[in-house]
Amino acid sequence: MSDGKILALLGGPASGKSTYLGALADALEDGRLAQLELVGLPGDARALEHLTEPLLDGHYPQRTKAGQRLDIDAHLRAHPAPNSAAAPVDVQLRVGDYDGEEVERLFRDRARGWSDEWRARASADGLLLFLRPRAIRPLVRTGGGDQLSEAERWQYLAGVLDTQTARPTPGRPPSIEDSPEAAFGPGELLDEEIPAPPPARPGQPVHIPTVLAVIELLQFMRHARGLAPGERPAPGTMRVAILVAAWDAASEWHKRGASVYVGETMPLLVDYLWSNFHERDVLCFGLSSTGGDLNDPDYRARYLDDGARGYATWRAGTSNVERSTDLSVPLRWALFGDPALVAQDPARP
Amino acid sequence: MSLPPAIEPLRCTNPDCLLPEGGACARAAEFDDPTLECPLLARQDGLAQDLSQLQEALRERLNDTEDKPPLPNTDAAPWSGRHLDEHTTEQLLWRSPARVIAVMGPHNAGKTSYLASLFLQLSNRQCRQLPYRFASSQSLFGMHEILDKIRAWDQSADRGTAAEEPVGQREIIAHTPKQSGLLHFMHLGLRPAAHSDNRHIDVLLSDVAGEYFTEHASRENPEMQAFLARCDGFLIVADTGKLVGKRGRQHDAEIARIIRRVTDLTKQAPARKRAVALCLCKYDLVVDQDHLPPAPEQRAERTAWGPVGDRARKIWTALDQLRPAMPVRIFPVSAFPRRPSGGQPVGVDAPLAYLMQHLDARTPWPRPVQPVPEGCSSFLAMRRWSDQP
Repeated sequence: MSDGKILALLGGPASGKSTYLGALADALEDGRLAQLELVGLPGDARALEHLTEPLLDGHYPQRTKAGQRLDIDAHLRAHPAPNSAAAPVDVQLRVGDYDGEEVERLFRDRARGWSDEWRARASADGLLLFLRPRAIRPLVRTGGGDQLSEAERWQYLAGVLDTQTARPTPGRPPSIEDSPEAAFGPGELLDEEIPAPPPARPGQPVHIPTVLAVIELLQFMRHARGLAPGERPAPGTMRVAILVAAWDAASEWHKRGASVYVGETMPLLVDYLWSNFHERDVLCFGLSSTGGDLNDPDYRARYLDDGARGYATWRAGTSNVERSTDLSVPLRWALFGDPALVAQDPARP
Repeated sequence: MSLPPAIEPLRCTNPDCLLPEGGACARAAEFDDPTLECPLLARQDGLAQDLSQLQEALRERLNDTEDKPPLPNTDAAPWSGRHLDEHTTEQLLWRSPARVIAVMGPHNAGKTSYLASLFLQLSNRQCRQLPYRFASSQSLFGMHEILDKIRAWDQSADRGTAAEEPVGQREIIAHTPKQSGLLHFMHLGLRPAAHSDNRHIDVLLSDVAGEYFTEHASRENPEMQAFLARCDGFLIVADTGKLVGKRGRQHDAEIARIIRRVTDLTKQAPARKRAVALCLCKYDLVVDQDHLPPAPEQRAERTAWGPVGDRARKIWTALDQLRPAMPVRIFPVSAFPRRPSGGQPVGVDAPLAYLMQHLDARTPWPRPVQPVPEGCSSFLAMRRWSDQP
């Protein structure tokens, strides 16, 4: 068996870590994941039971209690891609679920909390970063090319300009003096970049970021690995999968994808990841561990009758949004990279 | 700046310093006489420069050899996350050629509000004029505390005002206390937005109580002068509302004296390249359809600013004396014209973009000019157009 790979799950309170682990463990035990197999149960399987039992009854797993640890230590066999000629890889998966408030406590109380467990997570081969929007922000409707100049914004403040009817001032054409990309076009790498949010109109609200604690945690972890600020680790050595949980509730964003959602609602996090990781080592997934809201009695009834309907979506390059019912896709992408991305992978009966 | 004499033999906590070995000080570019000015040399007043020396000094003072200082906390986070203090700032300056920007202005001019609004714009990728992206910060928690106050102010329901109502002269963020000291910085790590530029640039923005600047404007403070001497850029914040109000003349004189203190620096180190951005903050208080800010190419003229320029004679006179020594530009800024849920700020990123243009100036390699022979044909002749300016 090869050396165990470590994956770290990060996320604040109620960000969906426990539900995802429960749905994944349930699928592993059922053998429903085509590319990931559970070879052997851990000696102490209570952690798995704690996460999977509620789902079997159509309920969400209980939130991890304060100070509690749920460590899943499982022997898996992973296939990077279906029909791949490469031999399957034995993986010792060690995933620790923790109380999400711990991130907030560590952020506030700097004197204690940066424990050996956190330092161990810092050496993970991949990070799964769970984000659950506290409120799904509506899609911003803007006209095409509506970047107002500073003079026009002052006019708006003075009550002179009506931004609904104002026509934007065309900017000067880009030149090579600005940047090579301005003259020669974006090039291949930019196809995978999380897009920037559109320019805000003068009357639009200023959003106060809510991801500072997560960014600080990532800074601590990089510091523990000896990475300087702005230093990108070697490609493939530290992938970051951003999982936007409860994606089923964000139907308005489905067509544009999770990367656009993250780019428009968490631009500070996007900038931080762009500055400190290779673009190919960061990928956004829309994740629905259960396929719908188990608190909705109608959906719960369908869930219990028809079985699991969880899915993950992503956008690879500039193509359409891809989707798979294989919940292990984000996990296998964190381990193997793009070869693990296979759309519409049918689940085993 | 007067420091106690250095202890002989010389001891320095900077690992790159060769002064104790008879070589050069690692920070020779900053000091004329490092043995008198460098704060990293151990000095005769007994204050140690690093933890081990401090522990030894504490033991001697307690006169108790068994009284061991507490072991360092291994569970502590790598940094405090608050505004950088002197020690952390010095460590960061060792690591990289950080750009240090002094944000100067009297009490309640709007310095901290400006910094908070700048961070919000950077967080939301709305700094269209700033060609950098956020890469790191060691003062995220300090900024988090400020943003929490802004959020609370925004959500407060008892003010009876709609989000779109003008903020006016209401205090948004509590006054920066003087106890925070002179070396009190917000740290931003920036990365150029161009993919071809792989650098990480540390920017330190001072967030200091306004009383320090007011006192220094009236009477030179050596500590303040030493601090300003280390800065690469100056962002001077004036309160436009106060300028056109009842105490406008006093405010005009106050800002002018601050500018003159900056001008004094150019006499001490005339070759050093610096830049100044004068921010006329709270400009939303004076803007109306008849008094819009002038176009950028007209902003150097006092008369182009209308009633604001009429009240800022001393400021312009001081700027005229500063201009020959270092580049200066004036910016209208409105950090919080409305509550955050009611609308966007205006002009917040322009001053920092201007300063970074100077602080991060990079001279491109000169293009080699190869003469094109007369009468040549085909490809050689096509090159002729590129040699034209």
